[in-house]
Amino acid sequence: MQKAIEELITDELDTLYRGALFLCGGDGTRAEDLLQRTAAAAYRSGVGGGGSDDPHPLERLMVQQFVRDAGRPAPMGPSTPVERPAQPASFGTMTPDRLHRAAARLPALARAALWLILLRRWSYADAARALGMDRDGLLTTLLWRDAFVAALVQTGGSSTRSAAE
Amino acid sequence: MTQRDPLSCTEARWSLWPPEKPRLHAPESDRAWEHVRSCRACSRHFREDRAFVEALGDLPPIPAPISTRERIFHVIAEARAAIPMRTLRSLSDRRLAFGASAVVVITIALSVSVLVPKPGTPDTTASITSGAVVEDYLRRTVGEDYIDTTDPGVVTRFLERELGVIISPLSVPGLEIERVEICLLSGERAAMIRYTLNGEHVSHYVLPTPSGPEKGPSLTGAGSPATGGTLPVVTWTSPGAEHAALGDLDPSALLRLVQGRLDE
Repeated sequence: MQKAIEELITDELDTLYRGALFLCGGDGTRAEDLLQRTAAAAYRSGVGGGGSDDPHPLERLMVQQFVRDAGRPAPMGPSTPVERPAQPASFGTMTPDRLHRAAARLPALARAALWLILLRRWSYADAARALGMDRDGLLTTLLWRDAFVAALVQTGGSSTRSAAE
Repeated sequence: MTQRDPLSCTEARWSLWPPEKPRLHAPESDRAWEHVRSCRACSRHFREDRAFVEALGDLPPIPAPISTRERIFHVIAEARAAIPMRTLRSLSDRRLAFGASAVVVITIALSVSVLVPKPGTPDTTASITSGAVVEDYLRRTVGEDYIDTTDPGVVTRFLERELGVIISPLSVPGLEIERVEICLLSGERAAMIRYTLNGEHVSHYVLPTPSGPEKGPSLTGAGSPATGGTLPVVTWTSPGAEHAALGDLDPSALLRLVQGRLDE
């Protein structure tokens, strides 16, 4: 049975809110603005009217709205390569604040790509489609992953959980 | 047999992402995993990712604030008002006929008995217009149903979570909850609890409103020329909400049901 847009949003709002906070670097006001624009766009585009096999239409619309708000930047990687420590990263205890501070250091497109791929576990192909990128564009954008991981590690203090474990 | 080119790190990661996703045993994924096992950079990449995913498990839930929820639904209500609802061609005549009378009854009952500000009453009560009720009715008629539950506790928690008010469903012996649905009335989020009593249906609308004076159940709508007296409506208010009940019961039984003295 098709779902009304209100029901879709009710089902997914907490996830969308977490995503909006990540995309907006933890700024709750901007996150709410993004969600409101996403909801309006979802209604206009007929989300909830059935006939689509898109499993995450609201999330897709949200990242698209976010990228559009950022002026549709071109994909680009970090200007300088991120120095990788010898050992794989240790993340310690994760908090929303750490996550948002690390996200805030990234350009908009990188936040959107990492939200979909790293946190929401979308396939590369689905993420590239949602972001309107080709393969090379997405791979270039994902070069920011190391910067994101480094920022998370820097904000983590003494770590207790290591990828090497 | 020709030797295939070795997979690059990019190709391996692209084809294996997300790594926790179950995959059918296939030559492509076998090649990709083989690459990861023999590539220090990719091994590290996936180990690091696993640690990241485990660390994400520490994150507390961050529910969207109720104020955010309300503003989002307000935006949708505004968008709905700006763009006319699509033509409802698939309605059956029977459902439409019933719906028309139900809409008239609800509209008359709510607008006359509860929602029109009384002299001396602060004008803070939410208003349900006929258009809003028609909108909600039509959304139901085209099959956009909502959340099913039969547990009164689940209903109360659901309403508290979704509407921010603590409401107990009606409770009399033999009355069973069928489901609770979120609806929009005049652009405001509301709910409709649907019950059955000995095979007859009763619908209970709940509209959160600013706190005002409580008003006991009263019968309206029955006997109205517009409805032929077929659908009685009982309206009342409780702290933080306005209520309307209607259904298959005769007027006095519906009133006694709401009053919790059906056995009298």
